[in-house]
Amino acid sequence: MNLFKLSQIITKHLRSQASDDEESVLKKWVQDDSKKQEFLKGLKDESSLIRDLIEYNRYDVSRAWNRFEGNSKLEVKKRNLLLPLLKVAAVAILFISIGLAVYILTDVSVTNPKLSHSITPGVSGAILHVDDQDVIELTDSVTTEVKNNKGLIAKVEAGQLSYGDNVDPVQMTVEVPLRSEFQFVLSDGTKVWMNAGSKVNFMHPFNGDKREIYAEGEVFLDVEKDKLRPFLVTLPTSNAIEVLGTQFNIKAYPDENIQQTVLVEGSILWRSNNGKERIIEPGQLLQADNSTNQINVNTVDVYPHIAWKEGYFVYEGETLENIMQSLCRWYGVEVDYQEEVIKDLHFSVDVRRYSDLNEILSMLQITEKVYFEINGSNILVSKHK
Amino acid sequence: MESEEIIKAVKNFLLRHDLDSFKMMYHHYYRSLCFFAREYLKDDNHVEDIVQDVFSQIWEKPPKLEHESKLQGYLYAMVRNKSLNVLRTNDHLQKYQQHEINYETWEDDESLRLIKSEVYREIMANIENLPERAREVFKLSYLTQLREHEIAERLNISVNSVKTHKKRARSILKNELKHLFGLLLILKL
Repeated sequence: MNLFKLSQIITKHLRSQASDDEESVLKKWVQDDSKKQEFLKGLKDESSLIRDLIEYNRYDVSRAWNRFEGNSKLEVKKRNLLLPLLKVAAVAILFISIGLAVYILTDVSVTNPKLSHSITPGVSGAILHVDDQDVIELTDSVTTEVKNNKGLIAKVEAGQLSYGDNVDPVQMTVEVPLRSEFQFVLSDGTKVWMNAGSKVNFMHPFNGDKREIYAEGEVFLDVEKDKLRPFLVTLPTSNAIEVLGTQFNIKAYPDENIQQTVLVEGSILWRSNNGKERIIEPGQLLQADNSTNQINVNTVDVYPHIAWKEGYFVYEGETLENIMQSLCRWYGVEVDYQEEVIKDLHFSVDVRRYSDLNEILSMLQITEKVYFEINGSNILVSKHK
Repeated sequence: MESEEIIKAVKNFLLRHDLDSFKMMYHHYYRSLCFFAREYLKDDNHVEDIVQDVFSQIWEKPPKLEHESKLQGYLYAMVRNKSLNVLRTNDHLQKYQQHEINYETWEDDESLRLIKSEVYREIMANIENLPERAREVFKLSYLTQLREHEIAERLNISVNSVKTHKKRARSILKNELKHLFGLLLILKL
């Protein structure tokens, strides 16, 4: 039994405002427990009550507050959304310089794996921009409302986004920083999973007879069926996907040439920026290379492509470069290769996303093909000796 | 009962680190937390120091909580940890750092003290809401334990007025807190 709930019930009981249900909860609580029965009786006993209230009343909150104000630095800190990022950057720089100093000052032995410094995974969280005016952190501890003069636009409850009845369209952007992931639902019921370093923006409510969103990074969509209102996803470089109720994963980071779309269910139409169209079927992977305008469609095992949203990193014979790219975003680290050829080594991986990075790197190192050295948030990959 | 206002203040503080909301929280919980800490510590100065300490920690580093409703438990858990750490002797070196109420590790007396701390805040709220003079007289009479003529002197009113205000205060409280102050009325009249 929650003590605060119980305290409320007892207060109500003393005020004769408790409902029958609450009275029976209380009755059950004291039942067969003489200590609790005594306690309740004691609360109602005027002499012990007065004695307690005298003690309670002795604490002078106004005097205490004055003392508190005098002693502590109560300057109102402006909440700066950039601050956490800057902190991370500062810490990273510190680590790098420490690493560098150590490297310069000591004869670094490279024979032992240097994986002692643990790097923790990302967490759930995002940043919501509304009309480029309101900026709200979407994390567990945040509960707030976004309003304009037309009414309630959106509500954030413990980091979860829901929508108000405001009918004037506003531009919403959900941005997931590195070392983060986030899941939310669009107003039509479409579920959106976002991986680290991704962005989705859309008008709320949707304009007219189309549901249009822009997505970059890695995003899994479970689109709510609505034959009358097609769902359209625009990607960086203006490639687009048209959907009718379906589940699929998009990987389209602006800093990568290849855009990938994997279809789990339903059907989608891929439309390139130069007018090429391809229909994709479930189990197929479409890869579009922006540098060559090439499109490839292959039948694949879908799971490795969507495992991230289930909390796993799964790769089947993937190049180290691609694996490391995902790890970098999720763990907020950077990677350097001692030799270019290392990037093309192939690995199979199946691990929990919420492990420390060190564990994953150790597993790759066991293959005796590569060797990792962590310096702060920098990882140097060399060929195994 | 947790009023809407205090819930809003907690939310606001956690979200925006807002000073006014923090001040409201402080005023709402301060005495309950002191009363609770008194269960562990016999020295009043220690008690208030610990509660001040908890609030400065909360101000300097607002906790990341699943939900704002968790803050209340968090405050009590912090007061408990700090009190137990003060009590800690050399042969009892365990450090108390759990920031949630884990009822299984709490003694019955601790839980009951928490309930008292919460209930008394509400009873005090009834007292604070009495009409001004009735409130003053009630507090001076019962909580400061002054005699009627001393109250009359202090408030510069007649002893008869003191009696009237006292009577009024009791009858209002008796009406609002039906299970309390009943006997009191008979005994003290």
